[in-house]
Amino acid sequence: MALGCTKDNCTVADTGICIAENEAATCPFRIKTPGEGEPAETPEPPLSEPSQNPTLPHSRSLTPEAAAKLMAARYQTLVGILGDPDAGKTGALVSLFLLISRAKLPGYSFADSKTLSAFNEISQGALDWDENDPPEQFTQHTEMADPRKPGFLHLRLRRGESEKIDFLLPDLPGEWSQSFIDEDNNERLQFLRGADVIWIMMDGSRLRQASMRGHVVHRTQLLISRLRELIGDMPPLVLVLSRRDGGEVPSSVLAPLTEEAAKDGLRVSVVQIASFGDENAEAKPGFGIVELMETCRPEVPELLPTWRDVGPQPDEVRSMMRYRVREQQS
Amino acid sequence: MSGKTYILVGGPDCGKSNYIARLWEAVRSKTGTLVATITPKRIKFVEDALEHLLMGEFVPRSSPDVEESKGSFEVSLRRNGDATGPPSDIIVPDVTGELWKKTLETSEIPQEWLNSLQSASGALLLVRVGSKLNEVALDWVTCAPLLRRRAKLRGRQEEEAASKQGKDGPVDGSTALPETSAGETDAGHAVKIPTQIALCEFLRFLEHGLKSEAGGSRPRVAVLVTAWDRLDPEKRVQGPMAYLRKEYPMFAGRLDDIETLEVKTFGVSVASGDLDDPKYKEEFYKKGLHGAGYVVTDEQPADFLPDLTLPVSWVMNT
Repeated sequence: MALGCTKDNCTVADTGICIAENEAATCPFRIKTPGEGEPAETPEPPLSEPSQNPTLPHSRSLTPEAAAKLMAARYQTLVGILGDPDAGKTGALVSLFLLISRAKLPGYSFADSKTLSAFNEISQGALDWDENDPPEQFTQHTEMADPRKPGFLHLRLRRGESEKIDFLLPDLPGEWSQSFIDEDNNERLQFLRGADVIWIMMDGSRLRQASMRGHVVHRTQLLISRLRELIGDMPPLVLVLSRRDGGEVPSSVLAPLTEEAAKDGLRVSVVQIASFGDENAEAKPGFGIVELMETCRPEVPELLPTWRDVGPQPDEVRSMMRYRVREQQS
Repeated sequence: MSGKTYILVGGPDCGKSNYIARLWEAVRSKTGTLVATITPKRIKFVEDALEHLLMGEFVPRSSPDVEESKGSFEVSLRRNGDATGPPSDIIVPDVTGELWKKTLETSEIPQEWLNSLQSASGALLLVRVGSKLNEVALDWVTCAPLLRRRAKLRGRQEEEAASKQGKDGPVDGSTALPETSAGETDAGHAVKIPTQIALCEFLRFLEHGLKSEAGGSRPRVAVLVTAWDRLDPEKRVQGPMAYLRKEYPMFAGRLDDIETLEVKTFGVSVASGDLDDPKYKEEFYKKGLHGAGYVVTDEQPADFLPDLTLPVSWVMNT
């Protein structure tokens, strides 16, 4: 290993003796070489990657791009799911999944999911989509989970005998809702503008407590205001009250919310759910989940007649209209 | 029958070794719809397995430690009575059920298996009645505590993060939870994969990998419910699809929904009874292996069809 030196005429590289009679190791004129614990001037070449196995497509949460591809292929009912941390968003999704797994969601059965491993892992309290994977697994994933982008779960359900509905359900951290309310942080919530329905999760146990309910209702009012500013033409809103297994929330608690929403012309409904709980309780695990799913049906537009019958007009210029065959005349 | 290949897949303890051994006996003895054209080159594995059956024992499970299992088996088949035309190969890839399970967990697949998958025109997917390795669907009793633990952990982490950085800066939700490897819950338990989810995922891999003919028919996948004799007679007569609907409703739902593959379910019994039952064993010795084993279909669930090559013949028939 050569010990270089910046000083002219110093032969320390060949002889090991410093011209300034300093210790070679500590001489300030010495060129530091990589071998002595100092960082190299040029970066080392990267280590060759260990040979990797090919991968089959995964079934973790969908990125927005992957969700968009699904939407292009088939109509997806996009559900927006917002609410404070621990309001019960993940619980509702898990409860839905468990019901479907055991064929216990009345009127619905499983047809497909592109995100089965995500559902399975979330059900077992495993890592959410947005947690960073340990570095050594980085190269295995073609798309690294990006904490700035939402992840979507996919579920296709058969409703009744033949109807099939595809759902896209985001599992967003509660912090995103808080940040949306407190700082109008809405970049990553843009997808809500295309939502068919928005569920706003509210913690039923807090609503049942007189000292807490005011704050919960207030935060939800703010959330709704933010949504109106973001979206404009609002889809139906569902206030989803979790933890029904602990008791019912009286409708009077939500009156300030529902009345304000009605004044603003918003369509708001309320569903109380119990994602978990005691099998013997009045509100068994899965209580309210089917009602929640029913809120997602895309609205069927009213059937309008193609030609509104206005009768002959004196100055009618649309000649073709003169040749309508009226049913009464035939 | 046109020079194509077909693969056999399934999780641990799905009855693969037993079925392949029984199938080998059926095609070798030329008693079914399909017959072996020539004796395959490497038959040690399947001969070892067949020896167990002939002795009146089920093939023991392959050792989970054997990474490079000798369980690869290929045989060329043609229709009984049809000497012309190219034979088709049935391939059992060189993998144990445990290795397939690993593929489920990681989505990684060794190149050679991917090659087998991508060159196959159809598949047989096996699941065994009453296997101890079958994982039931999750329930609330299992999941609720796991979710609560996770929520607590998150709460604690957020508190720590908030007290460290104060209230400045937006919270972006990327709180760092303790590092766990993929497939682990925060409590360090390995994430279980319920059998019906594993079956749906296998089907997804097959959907992705199987070769489809340009402008031709969809690849066929036969779902074999093995150890069919273990079911009560009242359940047996309802047929294999009814069994799947009851035991694995998600998987049955998927089979009803899938459009990219043509699927059909079969019940299969390799020995017509439980060889671990000494009484049945006596009966078995009297009739011998060639007199034992059957297949049932949804169309005729009460009929025990003696031709063990039927599911393979269906997969191969385009």
